[in-house]
Amino acid sequence: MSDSDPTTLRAAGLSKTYGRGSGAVEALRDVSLTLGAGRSLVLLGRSGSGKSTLLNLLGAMDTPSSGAIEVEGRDLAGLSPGEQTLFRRRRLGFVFQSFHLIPSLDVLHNAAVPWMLDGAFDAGARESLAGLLGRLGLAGKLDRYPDELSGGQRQRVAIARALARSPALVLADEPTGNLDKRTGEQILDVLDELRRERRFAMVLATHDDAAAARCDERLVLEDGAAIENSTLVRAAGAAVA
Amino acid sequence: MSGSGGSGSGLFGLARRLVLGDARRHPAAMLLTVFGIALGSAVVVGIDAAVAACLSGFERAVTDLAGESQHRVVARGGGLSDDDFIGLRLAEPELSLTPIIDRRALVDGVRVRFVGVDIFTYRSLESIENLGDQIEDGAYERWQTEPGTLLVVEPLAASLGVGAGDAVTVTGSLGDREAEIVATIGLAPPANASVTDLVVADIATAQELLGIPGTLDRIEARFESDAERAALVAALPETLELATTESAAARLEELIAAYRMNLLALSMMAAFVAVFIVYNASLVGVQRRRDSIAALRAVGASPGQIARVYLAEAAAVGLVGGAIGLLCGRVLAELMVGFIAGTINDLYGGVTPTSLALGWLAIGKGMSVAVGSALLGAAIPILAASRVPPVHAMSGTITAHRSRRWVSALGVAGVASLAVSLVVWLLTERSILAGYAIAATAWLGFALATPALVGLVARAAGVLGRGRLPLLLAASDLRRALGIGGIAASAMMLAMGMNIAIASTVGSFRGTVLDWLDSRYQADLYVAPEVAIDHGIPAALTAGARSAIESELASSGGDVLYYRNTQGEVFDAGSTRPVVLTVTDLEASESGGLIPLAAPLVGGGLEPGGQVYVSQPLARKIGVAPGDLVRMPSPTGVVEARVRGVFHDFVADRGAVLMDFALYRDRWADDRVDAAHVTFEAGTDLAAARASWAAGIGTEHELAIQDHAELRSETRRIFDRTFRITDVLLWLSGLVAIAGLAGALLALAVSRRQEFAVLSAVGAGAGDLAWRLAAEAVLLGAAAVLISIVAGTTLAEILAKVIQVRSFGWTINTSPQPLAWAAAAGFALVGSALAIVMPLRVLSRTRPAEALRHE
Amino acid sequence: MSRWVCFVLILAVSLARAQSGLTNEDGYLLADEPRAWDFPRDFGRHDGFSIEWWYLTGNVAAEDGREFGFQITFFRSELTPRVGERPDASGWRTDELYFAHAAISDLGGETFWHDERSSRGHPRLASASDETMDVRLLDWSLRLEGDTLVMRAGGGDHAIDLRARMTREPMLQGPGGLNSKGGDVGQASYYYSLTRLETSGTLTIGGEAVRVRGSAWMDQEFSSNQLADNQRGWDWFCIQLADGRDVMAYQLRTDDGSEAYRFASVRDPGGTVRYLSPEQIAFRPGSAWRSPDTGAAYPQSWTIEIEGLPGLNVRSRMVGQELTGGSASDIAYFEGATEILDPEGRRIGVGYVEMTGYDRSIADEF
Repeated sequence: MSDSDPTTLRAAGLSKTYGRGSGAVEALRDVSLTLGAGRSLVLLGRSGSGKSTLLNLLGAMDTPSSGAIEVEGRDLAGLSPGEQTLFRRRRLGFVFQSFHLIPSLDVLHNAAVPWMLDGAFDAGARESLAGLLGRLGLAGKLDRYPDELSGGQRQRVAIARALARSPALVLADEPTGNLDKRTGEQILDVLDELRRERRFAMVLATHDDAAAARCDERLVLEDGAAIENSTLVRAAGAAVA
Repeated sequence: MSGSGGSGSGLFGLARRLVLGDARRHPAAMLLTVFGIALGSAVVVGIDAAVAACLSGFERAVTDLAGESQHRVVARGGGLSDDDFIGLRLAEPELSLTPIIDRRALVDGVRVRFVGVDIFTYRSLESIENLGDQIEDGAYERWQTEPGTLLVVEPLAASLGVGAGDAVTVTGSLGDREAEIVATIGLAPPANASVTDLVVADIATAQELLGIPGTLDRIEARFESDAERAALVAALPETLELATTESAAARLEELIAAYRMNLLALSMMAAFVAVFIVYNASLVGVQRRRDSIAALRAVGASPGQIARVYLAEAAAVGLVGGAIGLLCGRVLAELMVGFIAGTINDLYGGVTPTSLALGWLAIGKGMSVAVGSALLGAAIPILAASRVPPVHAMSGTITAHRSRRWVSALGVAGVASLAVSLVVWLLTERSILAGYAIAATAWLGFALATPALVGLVARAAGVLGRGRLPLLLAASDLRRALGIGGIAASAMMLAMGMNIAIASTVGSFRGTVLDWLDSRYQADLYVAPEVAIDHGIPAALTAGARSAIESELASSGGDVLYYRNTQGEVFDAGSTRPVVLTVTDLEASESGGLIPLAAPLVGGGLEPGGQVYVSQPLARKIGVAPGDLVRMPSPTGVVEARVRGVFHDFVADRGAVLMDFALYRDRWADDRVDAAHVTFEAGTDLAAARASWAAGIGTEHELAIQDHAELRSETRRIFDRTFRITDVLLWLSGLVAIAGLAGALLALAVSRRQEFAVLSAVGAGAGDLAWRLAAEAVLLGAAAVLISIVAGTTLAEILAKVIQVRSFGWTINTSPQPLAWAAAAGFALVGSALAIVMPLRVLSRTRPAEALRHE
Repeated sequence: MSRWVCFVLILAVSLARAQSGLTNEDGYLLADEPRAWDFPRDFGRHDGFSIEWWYLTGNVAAEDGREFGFQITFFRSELTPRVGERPDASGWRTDELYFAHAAISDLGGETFWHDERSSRGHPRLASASDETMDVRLLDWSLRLEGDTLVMRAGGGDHAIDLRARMTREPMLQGPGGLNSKGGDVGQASYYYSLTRLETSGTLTIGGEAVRVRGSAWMDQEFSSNQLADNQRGWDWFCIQLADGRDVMAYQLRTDDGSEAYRFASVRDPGGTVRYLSPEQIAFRPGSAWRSPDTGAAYPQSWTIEIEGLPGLNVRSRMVGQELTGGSASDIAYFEGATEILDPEGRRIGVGYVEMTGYDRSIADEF
């Protein structure tokens, strides 16, 4: 990977405190990171170490108590709630451990939700989405409903939904957590392949060492603080160079 | 399915797919929602259509019977003469005026309504206007010009056994005269069913046969404009005055006001049921779709988009429900028409409902109720859910977080509303509008305060339930989830409270009427012509019957009190108002069962020629008290009589005047009686006496003989039939209670899936869950029943002491109606039992692991 | 409106039955032979006939030159044949029905007013003398004072208040006043006209009283059955020519639109009256005006050819002179002021036209 890749994600000094006064809990403390287009970052840490909090902040679903996040050079703090919503819809993709598919929509339309919210699910979008679903091995299952699919298939649908609008950044929260090992690996293979092809940045939270080993960068959290952060080392190196 | 088709690329497509997908996944829940909406709109549409059909039928019957003419000229003192008419006609030749003779006469011994008309100016009776078409050439002209020629309606001809060309005897004030029937006439429906005793003669013939040449009963006027009315009033000599009677429609409104109120309550209740069922279904739906909403939020759906998608879904479901509702409403209307018409027939006679039709207005109304209730019911849960920040949505906690605060706020508002109601009650006296305001604010107050009251009940139960886990848990669950349980309780309370209120009002009304009946009618036997009792045809006791009664009493010992009941009018601020004239021996009646409300005038003796009693409704309507004068048109001019007292009466809601035979015979020139109330000496064997009277003079003189018990049961029968419609209310309210409980518990259960999962994981079995749910259902139901008994009894008190008094003028003594309370409790119990089934199924199907994962 | 209904009903039954015989089977008298006339008695009512009318039409002008037409008609119908006296304990006892129409055509203002009255016969409400012309119906009346007809009718803000002085002897419309309407015995009426009535008085139009003078024409006619079943209606003309000749002409139309019967009479200034037979008369209607109220199409010009007279072009002075009761069962007819032109288009006289049976047949009624 080249250092000249444009930076997709830059976070500086992120902290998040829940509650106030003596009952306050510091879920995240002064975390910074940076990630280039097409690169992947694994987020490691035990339960409660702050992984989910960080993902929520990066995904514009929650706002940091202090610090700043830039995606493709835009400061998320400067966005109104409505703009954040649009930003999520058009520039971010989410993949969750428990899929979060809409049970009353079939495969094609689950994946098409980000398009449909914009009223833009036209023939072109349909064609490219069908192609993507085909790549994900769902070619014959476009009219199935989530409860008719296996876990791996569900997660593939979720991936298709996350990638539907060609996001700049994909946030994946334990995407293989509910899958058996073999299926999990297949999912990760597909994600890697598509990432390289489409050059989106990806942040992957996981406990799975095999999954972690695939990633370009590592960020390890403990009690809300980064105890290992390869992205900054690289960034520092780049600055020195 | 997913294939081609360009439609649905946007938000609407998303909504459409969500609805269809949801219907596929949860058909039962969707059906419940559609059912609720359809029920609401069906009842609204059905009642509307049925009432409209009955009312228009009734209006037509009344119009045919009474004529459209609403203006009549009567004489101030002394009878009306031909000269009075001629003078007016010449003075105002451009006005529509017609002379009328309208009185009772005997034709071949049968009492009939004998009407004399000048067919050239007569235009009131639509059904008579085309007489010429019905009658053979020649007969019509003979009827107009030849003395002694009559037209009779077909039913009368049939019962007299005569036809065209037959001779009959007309008995008028100068004795018997020979007359000839020149033709029988068929009236247009529905008058043909109700007008069964009409004889029509030319006005000259009528004067001659009845022996009243030169005399008219009234002049009817029809005005095209106010200027015409003013012209007539200006032309009236001192001796005449213009009386404007209420239109038939207005009279009808008054007659069935009570009925309308019941039906209105029913409609509103139905719409309310619909809103509530949808509210519940939406609550459950939102809980259930938490995943979908969270996912939508995460992938970038704005709160507005989510709200629009799900509200569009609600509207679509509303449309489907509405369409089904219209069909069901049509069927319901068919059923109700018979129901309503039957009641009106019982009370007022002859109604043929016009054909049922669902007009655009009814369709619009039904669809508005359907879509409106769907949107209303869905709005609150959906709006709340759509606003939850995505991060909370992801973590799966969509419940009303601030429920405690608004429950207290609502409680305060409820108490304030109750206070307003009380203040209005204390400050106003006559206004009907204020009466409705009192009822509405009281009702609103209870509805608003119910969630807070349920909280209090739950707290009390928690205190009582120390140590008993299911009760403790149920109480605390209920208090934590007042947002769902409180609203459900409020809905149940409204439904059951309404039912208790109406049942109490009707029950108290019935009790009051029967008490009144017992004290007013204390005689042992009631004797009247059979034809009057069996067929409702006014008929007098013949002289033979009267002397038979008297000679029978002379031998057996006892008293008889005669009655005459007829139609009359009283003046009320320039117009006249129809009333029932009851004539009897006032002195005997005062010592008997007459119940004066206000103290009779003291001193001055009875003055039978000049004093009358007026019924309580009439006194209220025309605003008279003992000592005031009432003025009544009579055949011998206007009678002015002093009000001696006011009496309780439930027979004539239009009002009744009770007068002495002396006054009536003198001024109404009528000495007939149509009922005899017989009281035997103490110690007489009543059953034996009744049997011997029935077999003896009853058979001989074609008299109906009833004893007190029969009179009472007949009254009770009519009463119960009148209010049978309230049974529908009972069942509807039961439905609301059950739906309310089931929906609320389901919503509570779904929202607490994790908690149950935890319990299940730590080893609680399905039985434990059932106990806890049952405890919660019983607690919720009990709270709702308790509050509804208080609220319903309060409302009943308002209906009896405010609404009834202000709109009908009679007071009702209220009494507690434990039966209605028990019914409410019963419904709550059945509701509780049914209500735990569905939640239990939902919970038992939830795998603990899956539910726990959301923690 | 329903007065009209009654009227139609009554006429329908009372007149349709009057078919044949010197007195017909219902007992009404028939016009079957020339009559010995006795005025002023014959200005009065004639008992025993089923229908009788006094019909006044005229053309008048105000001093400022404004022109008007007017009509007053009183009808008397016997519901059953009058035979002797009946006991009348009731003052309402009667066998008569009266009704009346009046109309004013404001020819300059192009407005048409009409009204009606009706009542059963009654000494104080509606009556006609059998001694002279004295017909009263509520507030309307027509009576003879010396040689002058005094008439009064009105309603709302319109009124007719005129005096019309006789200048010529009554003109009998047929030998002995017997006016045949066809071939059958008794299918005829007794009929005379008063022409060239010197008329003056006041017309009130929309509240404005206008002094007028001019010339009027009166017909009195009584009969028991005039029209045959297939006779649909009639076109009737009265014409007062400037040269002093009085002309009355009518045709009875049949159901198929062809003319069934024609009659005309011409009185020259010397007083000689000629009666013309059908083949001596021809009527040619011109273009029609269609009533927006009834849909009836009334010709607005006629060419009348009568042997011995120049061709008469009769033109309605104004469309819209139609009397209607407004109800489907009512009779509608056109009663309008006319002017008479010679073939060169010069006005040579004035008159009135009456056209009936254009909306539907009225044979049942007459």
